[in-house]
Amino acid sequence: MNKALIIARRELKSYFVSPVAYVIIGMFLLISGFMYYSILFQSRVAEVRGFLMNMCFVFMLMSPILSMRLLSEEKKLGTIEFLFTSPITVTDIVIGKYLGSIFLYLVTTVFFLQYPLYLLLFATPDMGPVFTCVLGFILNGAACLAIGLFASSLSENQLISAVVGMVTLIFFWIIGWMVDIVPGGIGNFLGSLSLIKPLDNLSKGVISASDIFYYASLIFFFLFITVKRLEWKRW
Amino acid sequence: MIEVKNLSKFYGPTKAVEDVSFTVEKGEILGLLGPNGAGKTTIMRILTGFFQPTGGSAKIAGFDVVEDPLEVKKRIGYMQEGQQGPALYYEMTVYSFLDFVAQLKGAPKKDRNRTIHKAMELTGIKDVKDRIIGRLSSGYKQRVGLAQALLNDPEVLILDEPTRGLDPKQIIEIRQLIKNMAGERTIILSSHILPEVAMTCNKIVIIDKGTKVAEDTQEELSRKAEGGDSVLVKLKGKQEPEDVEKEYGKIKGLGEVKVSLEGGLTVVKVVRSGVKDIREELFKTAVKNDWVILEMKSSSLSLEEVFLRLTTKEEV
Repeated sequence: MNKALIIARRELKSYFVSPVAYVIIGMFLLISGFMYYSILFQSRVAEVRGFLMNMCFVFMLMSPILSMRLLSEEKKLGTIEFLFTSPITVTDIVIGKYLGSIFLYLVTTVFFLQYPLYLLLFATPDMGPVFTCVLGFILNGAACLAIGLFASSLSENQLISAVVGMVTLIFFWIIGWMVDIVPGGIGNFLGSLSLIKPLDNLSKGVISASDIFYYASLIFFFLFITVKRLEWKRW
Repeated sequence: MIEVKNLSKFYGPTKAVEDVSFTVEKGEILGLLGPNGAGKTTIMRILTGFFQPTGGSAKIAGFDVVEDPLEVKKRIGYMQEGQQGPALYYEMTVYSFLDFVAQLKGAPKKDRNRTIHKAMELTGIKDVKDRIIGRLSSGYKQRVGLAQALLNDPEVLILDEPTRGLDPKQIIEIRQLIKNMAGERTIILSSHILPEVAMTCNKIVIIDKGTKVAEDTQEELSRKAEGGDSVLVKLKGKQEPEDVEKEYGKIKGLGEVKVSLEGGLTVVKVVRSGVKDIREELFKTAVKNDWVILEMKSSSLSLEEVFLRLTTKEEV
């Protein structure tokens, strides 16, 4: 675990050495600022709910760009061999890489926190849902990055990793529609895979064990198959 | 220290390495020699735990590379070969990269700075420690790769093509560096350049098309390929060729004796047929006949020739 943190720290630093982190955070702030302004201006309701859903969708589209380099670049440059021959386990590598991208995401979240603060300045929002919205923003991002990390383990081409990650994420987003299309248990099952439903619950201020479990298992599953994928590749 | 037994590696149906065995004792430098694509890197990758072997086993310091990969990795320093020189994180500075590696290798915090400085000193990269690795010349990149392998004092060093892409002066420096490090460390290095292996290694394993074609010390290997050394003796003055042939013919274990006169000297070329060192006998015979030896040298086949013989034999 200690070793995973060493990798995570290096990963976070390397985001800031290249322009990637600045561009992504900058773009994200630009879009979020505009959205926040326009949504709040139209609705004139002191809540961040609608804004949250939109921002989560935007991040879902952007996260593969953050995660695409995590393993693809290492594979392409051959530095993955360096990690694999260091006295650390594959699980350490995967968790380290994942945490590195999560740390960067948390930096973005800090900027995201400014929006609820504006509400506090000019109105008296219900802080419960605001808190769960921030939680939802973090959990949704964590899930997106786990999927993106797995996509990144598939190819040494970063573009392919990004596209695969994006398509997988969109799939997890729209699969919620299956509830209406496919009747019965299958539809319900597919619907329960969707990223939208737990996010919607959180945005309403509802924290349920099943939603937290959904995020935890989704993240665990994708990290697990990333580890398996990396181990399998060397056989 | 290193024990490789019947090691094989197949990528699907493609053979990369088949049935390779060798051992390296503590303090030795083993050279893996072979043309490009012979399977040297594959063997090294198995030893370092990057690849799983398809068959056979490899042990480093008593630990099996498949069963105890972490224990093995703790004891090795590995410098791998990337597409352009060693694969390093090019966006990092030399020092921060070495610091990262030292942490991964589990160097305790208080020793870290010391171990990094020691490695930088050995490889002569102290003056570039704050520069970005990607902007260094290939020679320096190679040294950073080597410094990284040296961190935390590994018992075993595995160096894949350590002098690739360097200029002659740098090659000599790196070679000297490797030689200096032997003794306390056990080293395996690979190369397709023969003089390099000949100069640095005490033991050579020649690999071709994934199989071992020869294993020996450098001198033994040359001798085996020729079936005996030849010794060249230059005698002062013009001696009667027949006399010389007759006298030298008395020595046991001697093959062909060729005598010629060159510029006032008598040149004798003797081919040895046995294992015994014949130079002493050649000297004694000369003294007995009152011949003055001006020069005596045993010429063995150069590694290049041995290598070509061994690797082309299969095709014929």
